[in-house]
Amino acid sequence: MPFVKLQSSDGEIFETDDRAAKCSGTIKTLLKDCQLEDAESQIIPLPNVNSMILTKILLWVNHHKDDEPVDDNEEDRTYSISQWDAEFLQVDQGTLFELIMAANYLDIRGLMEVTCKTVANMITGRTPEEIRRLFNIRKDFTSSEEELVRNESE
Amino acid sequence: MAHASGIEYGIGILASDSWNQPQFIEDPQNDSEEAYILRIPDDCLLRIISYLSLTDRLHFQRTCKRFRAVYELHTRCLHNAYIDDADIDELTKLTNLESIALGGCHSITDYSMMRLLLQCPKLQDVHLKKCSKITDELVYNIGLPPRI
Repeated sequence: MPFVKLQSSDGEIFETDDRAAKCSGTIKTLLKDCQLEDAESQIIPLPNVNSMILTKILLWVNHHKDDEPVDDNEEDRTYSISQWDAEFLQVDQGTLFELIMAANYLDIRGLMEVTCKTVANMITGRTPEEIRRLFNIRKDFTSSEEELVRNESE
Repeated sequence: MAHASGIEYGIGILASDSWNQPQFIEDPQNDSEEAYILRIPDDCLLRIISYLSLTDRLHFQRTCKRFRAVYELHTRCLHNAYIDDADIDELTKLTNLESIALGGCHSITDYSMMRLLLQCPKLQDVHLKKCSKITDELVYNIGLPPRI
């Protein structure tokens, strides 16, 4: 089976089979455009992804490499997240948002979907104050701005 | 540059070479240790918003300035949503709405559409294909150009 070598931002090299690597639109395009298909000795540097996150991502793509590709128009609009993904995403917030950024950078549609849904589920049913507390966001509205925003949305 | 005390400070800026760029991605992490969520790009936040219900979106935008800005970006257009008359009440809160596509929303009436148009002054682009209850009268009354 052909494989691809990926290098994380901290220099660690990961080997993965190319079907899993091609879950990433970015890597897929890279392999195609640079015609690296056969060049197994090539290493693809991923300067935006550290080894901890890359390990997680490879775990995810290896689990999902046989999934049906999602059609653009028929994107799943439900809130459902599979059991496996839910367990996979039981991580701290730092990791979760790093995963979102990496999925965005690597263009891994499915991972993007489940991670964003997870965050959406965290927000659902919470008041603005609770959302701030949950994500540790500082309230940067002045009291008059806050009043304005509240009036607009009520 | 003259300082308040009258002492002049010369500030020299040395361009860093392309191999040793400053780690500007790392820096914000230190002073905003708190909010991991604020590090992700707008695209991703927009995506998260798209999975929220309207009430949750309103809560989201009241959280902080960045979220509000992203929310405003998001509410500029509402496409492919299935909306009925009851939802119009909620929609009138989206004063930023610029574009809406209501294809196939059979229960929308002239009256609600009129309210929406009055409440959302920025609304310019409205698609009402297959909205069976919308009559020519509405289009006539509001005198809108044929892009509707």
